[in-house]
Amino acid sequence: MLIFGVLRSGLYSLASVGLALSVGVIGIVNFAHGEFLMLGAYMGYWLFASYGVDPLAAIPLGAAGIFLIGSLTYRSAIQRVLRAPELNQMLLTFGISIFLQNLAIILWTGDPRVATVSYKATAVSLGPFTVGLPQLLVFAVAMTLTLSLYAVLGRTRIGKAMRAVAQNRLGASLLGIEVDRVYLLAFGLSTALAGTAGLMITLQLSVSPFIGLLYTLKAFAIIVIAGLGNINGVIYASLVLGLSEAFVEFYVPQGGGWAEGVFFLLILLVLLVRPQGLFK
Amino acid sequence: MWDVRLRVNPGEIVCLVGANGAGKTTLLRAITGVLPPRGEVAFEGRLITGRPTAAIARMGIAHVPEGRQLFPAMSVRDHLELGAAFVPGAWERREKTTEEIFTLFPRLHERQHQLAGTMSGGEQQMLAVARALMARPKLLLVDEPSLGLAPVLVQTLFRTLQEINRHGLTVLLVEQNVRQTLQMAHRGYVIENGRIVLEGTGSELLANEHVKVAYLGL
Repeated sequence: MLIFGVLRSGLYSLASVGLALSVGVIGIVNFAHGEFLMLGAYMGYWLFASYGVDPLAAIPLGAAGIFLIGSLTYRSAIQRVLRAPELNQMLLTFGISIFLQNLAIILWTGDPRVATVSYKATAVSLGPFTVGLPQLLVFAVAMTLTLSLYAVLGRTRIGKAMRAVAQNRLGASLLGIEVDRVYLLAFGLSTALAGTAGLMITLQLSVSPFIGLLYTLKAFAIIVIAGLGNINGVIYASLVLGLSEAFVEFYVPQGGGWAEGVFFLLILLVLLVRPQGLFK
Repeated sequence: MWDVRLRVNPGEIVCLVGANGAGKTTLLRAITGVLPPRGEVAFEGRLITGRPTAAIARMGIAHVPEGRQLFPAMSVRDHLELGAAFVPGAWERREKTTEEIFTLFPRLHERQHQLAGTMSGGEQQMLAVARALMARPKLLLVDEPSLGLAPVLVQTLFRTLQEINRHGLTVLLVEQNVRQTLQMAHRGYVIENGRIVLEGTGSELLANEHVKVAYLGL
């Protein structure tokens, strides 16, 4: 059970760290986050179905594609509401979410699609445990990418500039940092990370225009557990969610269905008991 | 603001003194584009009115703003690095500049791994000045560095500013601490209700009757 929870948390980290970046750096609560994940998933599916590209090998291309779409979204829409009231920002991103979802329905219909990679059913043994190869690969790649993002934010000039902008916009601009370009980069990166998580989902689950919402909600739960704006806490918070879901699946009768609602309970508990987040 | 005509010559320490709300901070903000200026701002013979703040910073004007505007969850080292990171020419010389800054502010050297948010007010003010100096600016704008500092620290900070100035840096200093500031400055301006009412050398202003009555309590 533990191992399933841990494996699942890898993808959760990658799916939510982008949202943490968007909230933390730009202060935009992006309700369309899951839709960028969905677009990434379709990109993975089509590259696989049409050209036989393995979804993991498609990551560089897919991430770049979603980065571009995310940047265009920022320039055409998000940028205009940066100083608007929060409600306007939320309505806008919610609108983008509905737009992208319906666009996907028009383009690709609402039918779920499955990419069956050759190693889909392959299992590997990890000591006494047996786990699916796709799950293991997804965990490894997702964790590597999430940790690389941490390294970029912690060590590089542009990463530090991003943190600086997040902590004090005026202070950053007085040092010659172009705040608007940092926002563009942060938003593009945020969507690209979601898209990459989407690409990897195709290894395990079916793809449909409706998969985004659940991931938006779970990503919200994770950034609330981590503490809003706390990017480093995302990995631990994902672990909390992953393990809690696995726990419910194993120990609650018919837990498979209940597990999908665990994040609601966690949001509620965290907000009641420790609203600043568990890892802040 | 009205009728504000202010000039800073290379190598000078110029101060701008006046009461709370006279418009000192507003003037500095207009220079670096934090507020949109109505009027003209020129730097090295070129008009910079209306340019974005970041672009002005990269031209060589460093602004130590009111309230310091540090990054609370970042270390002293990170601040210094960021100070140099986006200004042409400053990044290549960051190691040397850092050394010089640690000589000027040994305290920051001791605390180089501490987070800015956990430091005392005086240390934060030093860090704000140090971060600005990392850009190797041609002109340094300093907004009320003495605010909230113990008198001993104010003296240290002023001495440091003088020393930096002797190495060729031009300084425009905004202060409420009139006596000390005028003693240090080459020239000064007195601003009241958004207008410049007096200007002259530091000693001229110190001897001025109006200044004596209104600002020095004599």
